[in-house]
Amino acid sequence: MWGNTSKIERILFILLVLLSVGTWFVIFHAGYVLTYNDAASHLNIARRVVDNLTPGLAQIGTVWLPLPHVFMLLFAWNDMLWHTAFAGSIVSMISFVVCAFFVYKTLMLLTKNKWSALIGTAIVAFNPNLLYLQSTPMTEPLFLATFTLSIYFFVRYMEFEQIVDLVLTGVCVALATLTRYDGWFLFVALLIIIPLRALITKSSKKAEGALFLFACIGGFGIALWLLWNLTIFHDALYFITGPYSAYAQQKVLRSVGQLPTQGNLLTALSYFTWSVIDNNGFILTGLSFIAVCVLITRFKDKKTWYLILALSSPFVFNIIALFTGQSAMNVPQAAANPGYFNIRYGMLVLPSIAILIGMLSDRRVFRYIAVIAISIQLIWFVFSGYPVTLTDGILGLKNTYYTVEASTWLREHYAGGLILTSLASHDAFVARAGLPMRNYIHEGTREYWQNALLHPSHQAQYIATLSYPPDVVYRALAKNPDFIKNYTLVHSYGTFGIYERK
Amino acid sequence: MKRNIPYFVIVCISVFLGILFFSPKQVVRSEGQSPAIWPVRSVDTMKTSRDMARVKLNDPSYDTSIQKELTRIKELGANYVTIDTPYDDEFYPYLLRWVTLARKTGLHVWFRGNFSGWEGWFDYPKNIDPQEHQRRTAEFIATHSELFQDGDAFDPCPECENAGFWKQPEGNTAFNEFIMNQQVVLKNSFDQIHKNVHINWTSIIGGRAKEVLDTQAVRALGNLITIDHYVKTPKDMETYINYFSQSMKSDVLIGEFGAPIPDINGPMTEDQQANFVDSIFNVLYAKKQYVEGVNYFALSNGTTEIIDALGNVTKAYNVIKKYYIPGQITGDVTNTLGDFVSNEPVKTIDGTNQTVTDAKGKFSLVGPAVPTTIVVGGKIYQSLQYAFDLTNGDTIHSNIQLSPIKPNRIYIIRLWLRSFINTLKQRFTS
Repeated sequence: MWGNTSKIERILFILLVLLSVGTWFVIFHAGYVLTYNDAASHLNIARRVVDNLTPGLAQIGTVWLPLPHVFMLLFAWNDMLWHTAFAGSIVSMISFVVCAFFVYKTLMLLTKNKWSALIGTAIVAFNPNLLYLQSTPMTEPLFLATFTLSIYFFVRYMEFEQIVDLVLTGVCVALATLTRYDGWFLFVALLIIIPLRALITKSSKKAEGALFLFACIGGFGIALWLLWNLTIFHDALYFITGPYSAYAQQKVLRSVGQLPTQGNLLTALSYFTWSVIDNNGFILTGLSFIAVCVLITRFKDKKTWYLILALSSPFVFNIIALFTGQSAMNVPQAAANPGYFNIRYGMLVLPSIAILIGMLSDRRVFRYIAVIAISIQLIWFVFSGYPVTLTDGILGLKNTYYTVEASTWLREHYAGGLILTSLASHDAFVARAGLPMRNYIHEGTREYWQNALLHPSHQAQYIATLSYPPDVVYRALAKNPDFIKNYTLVHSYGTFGIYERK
Repeated sequence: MKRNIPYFVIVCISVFLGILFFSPKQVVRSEGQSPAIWPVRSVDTMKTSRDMARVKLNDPSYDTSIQKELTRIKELGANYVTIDTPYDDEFYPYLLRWVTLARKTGLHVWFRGNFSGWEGWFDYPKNIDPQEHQRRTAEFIATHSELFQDGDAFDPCPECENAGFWKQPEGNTAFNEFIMNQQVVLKNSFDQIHKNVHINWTSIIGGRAKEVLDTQAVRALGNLITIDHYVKTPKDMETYINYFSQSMKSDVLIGEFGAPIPDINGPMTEDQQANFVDSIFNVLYAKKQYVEGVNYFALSNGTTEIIDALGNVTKAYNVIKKYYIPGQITGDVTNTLGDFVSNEPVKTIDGTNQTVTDAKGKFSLVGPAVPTTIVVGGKIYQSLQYAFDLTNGDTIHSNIQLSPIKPNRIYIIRLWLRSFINTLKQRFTS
């Protein structure tokens, strides 16, 4: 695979690397790498494995799937790479290059036409929303890379019928399942598509074999995650039932009526379609929709159908997640409470859009249409202002601006001692303060944490807490006599306060 | 199969556009506005909405009295009613009754209550510190989103300085920080519940605001200082407005004003009260470019009342009504050639209200509902005086023709030509 790279692939690879590094440089100097609080959280999860009062792999936790943090761990041990957040950005940057490069390779396999492949690659590479996300420690770029790799090997498997390609499909899907829950749906989709195809084109015995092999390898990541939860938290489903799970967060949103898509399929479809348009552009989204219809009618070979089914999995998954209330999202086009919250999910169909348009443009007339469409879309993006993924991050940062104020204060006034805070709530505050994580007492520091919530003055020099909506520290200490007697407020911004031991 | 491609493309585009078409769109509504001197015209109900909160808490029949008060406020021309019920759980049902009736009456609500524990109202222990106040404020907004509507105003702590946490001068910095922090809490809280509520109408006693507020805090308040200001003379009011507008580059909202306050104004007859209120409102009118609005304190049950115990209105009520439901004079100004006259001054004869004509010669002056004489012109054109009897809510329109003070040669030639053509027209038509 890598040994057979052509000259154009090598040039493309270098250009993608340059584009990735250049974009990171711009974003870093604009100070936008950590606009998402989640970005800071991902970075800290990796860091606290090595820099902690109680270091260890258990710090990977259960809030998010582990693969992004495992990769970040390779770099986050280094102070400079952690402080600059490059430890997280580099994982996303590599993912970006892999994603765009393998869109090219997938399209070369499908169309044998370099122009079609380059059109698909351009759609990925020049998308401003992905270019922003690939500069941050977010999990979407890594998912896009594992998704594209899965599709690439799946296409190879359909093309060459080599068992090694099925194994590699399984491996990549397993990596996707350890990156985002979208990967779990991809696994289920391929678990149906692969044996179904074998059943239709070959025999039931072949289908059985393919099912078994793919289930074992592709499902390995899910099994590993369940085992991890069972071992560390004594509940295989802790990631669903735990207090910091997405389900728990959605429950809070539901209670204040902020899940408009739940139980309304049309609204869920509308919200996600708008998010896809906002992320990938109206023209390219529309063109990919046309591509699906044209491709279905064009090929006698049903291979394309299976591929389209696999490519549609992120779209279907996100609509189901919104409909069932497992996921929350807002779009600026919404009638009630318009916004940008989690709008980046629409980005997850970008490789699908790119591959579909690339496949469509193996005919000359469509190739010209695609080039014109990409050009107009790029101009449109330029005149649209900030990418929506960046807007989402900036708006999120505004809502938690206290993390900026409080971290600045702490960095300037910290005079030694342990800091008690809820990392689950204030990861961004800790990341921005830039103090070693071993200075913090947080949920992952076991007995330190338990003791500090009972007798804070025995251990904590500082307490950083949000009084409303109350975080776990405030709830534990608001009426604690030790806290009331021994601490004084030294900084406050909104309802976030830093208290210092008298 | 290839023949089907155009058909499929059309279907695809239709479905795609269909999804977008049927998806919910953002609806923008705008509120019709009648002419007003100030954007904010409010009347305070503290004597009933706060002082009666415990006594009438479980007395639904009191709603009739509340409704009568609200109707009087609406008839006065106010667009806000100030409700001062405390924010504690105990009084929430009473607050909700007031708010519900205010909505029915078509009034925005200016919330000016507080937590009773801040100053120790209603025998509550005085046990709230500034940080706890911010927390309770955030909690109150988040848990009572049904209370608020876009356009309302929320002051979590009117005259917050009264609790005594910030001694002067050593507590000035902390007070300014508290004010700024309060704005952060309010903005975040209302953003969370997606309500567009005015959060910077933070009442501070006039003298305290002048002595303590720093430029940073004023900026955090959106360059709007809300003062509770009882004065002895109209000059006192004017001095404060001038100070804030000139030294702090800030507009002023009168959070409380009423008369007579016995300690300041001594006793007053009904006529004296009406005259004094008129003189103060006239200052606010003359300074309207710096004044965001006024909250008259209070409607009933006190020396400053404008409806008596029987619900009858006083003379001061009618004085306020002149300002709250003003009249409007509009005009189209042309010269003797029939051209639009732009940028020509239009002012009341006493100079308290002035404007200039726009590019199409139009002007609009909003003023109290009293006989008004305006002067049009005086810059390039000869000024003319027009007298109008402005009544509440009426708009009087007039077409005004002006002659230049020093017409240039082109003007004279055009005028001569116009006259010549008109003469010819008359000859031929007769």
